Amino acid sequence: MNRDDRAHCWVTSQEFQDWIGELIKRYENESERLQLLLHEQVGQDARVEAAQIRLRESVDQADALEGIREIVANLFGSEEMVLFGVEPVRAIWWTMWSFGVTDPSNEIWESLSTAVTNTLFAGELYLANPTAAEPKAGSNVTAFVPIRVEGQTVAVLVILRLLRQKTTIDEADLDLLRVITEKAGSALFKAA
Amino acid sequence: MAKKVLLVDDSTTTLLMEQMIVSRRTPYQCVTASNGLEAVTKATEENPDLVLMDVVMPHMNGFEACRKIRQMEKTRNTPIILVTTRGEESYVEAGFQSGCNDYITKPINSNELVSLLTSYLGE
Repeated sequence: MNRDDRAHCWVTSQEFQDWIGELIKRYENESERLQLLLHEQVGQDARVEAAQIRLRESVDQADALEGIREIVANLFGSEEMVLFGVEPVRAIWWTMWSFGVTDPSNEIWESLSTAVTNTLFAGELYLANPTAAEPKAGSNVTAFVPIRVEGQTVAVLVILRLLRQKTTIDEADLDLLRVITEKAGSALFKAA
Repeated sequence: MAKKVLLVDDSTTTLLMEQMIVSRRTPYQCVTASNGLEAVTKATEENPDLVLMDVVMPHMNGFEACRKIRQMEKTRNTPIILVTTRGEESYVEAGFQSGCNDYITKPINSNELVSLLTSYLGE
């Protein structure tokens, strides 16, 4: 059998056909996966972009608070939140505003260890349970979101129970919360 | 001519996000309203191919607006999808009783929204 015959034999073999079929299937799956990822990215970007625009265009503090409520309730998935003003140097916290909660103080204070406080004052958000939407047993706190102005944490948004249908917190959710960290401060305090 | 979706929500953040998803991922055109009353007017004026509407809104809520839209000859058969924060059975049932065709819960998943719109309006 010469070289050309061998090539011909291999090309027409069932094995080769199967291999090509497998490659096409793999390509189609990968293509579908990438398409889905791209669409998800557009969706996530839309959430982040909408949140950024909403906060940027807030006209005063009341409007900024409504913007925060809309972002957390409609884009993140919780209808319970408390906003604290903070003064890191003297470690003073005071309630600025709340929505959907009556007296959440105790469980919030119980979750606030020195490590958590340091994380927040360093500008990092803190998830009470980073792997699941269900908050830790005995606590309704889901996340602490620092709000920064000129490199300083000036407020902390505490998000409590998630909506029933919100079952996971993913990286895109964290991106959304980071918008609050970066943009809510100037929206809340621009008039002050 | 592009099919038209009427987006109704009192939250500007939600309207912004929905508009971005629809305009970037579908060929449909968007019109918006910020409460139920405005939705009923826009539904008559704009003759949309589908209405995507929040439930809790000032002036007129989504259930009431849905009933009004169903009562009008021009919009009697327009598909209406309600957007709700509460996915409880009783709440969903109330939505269907008001005449909606489908519902989606907040926070909106963009893939779910696009699939739902496409299932009613086609590619």
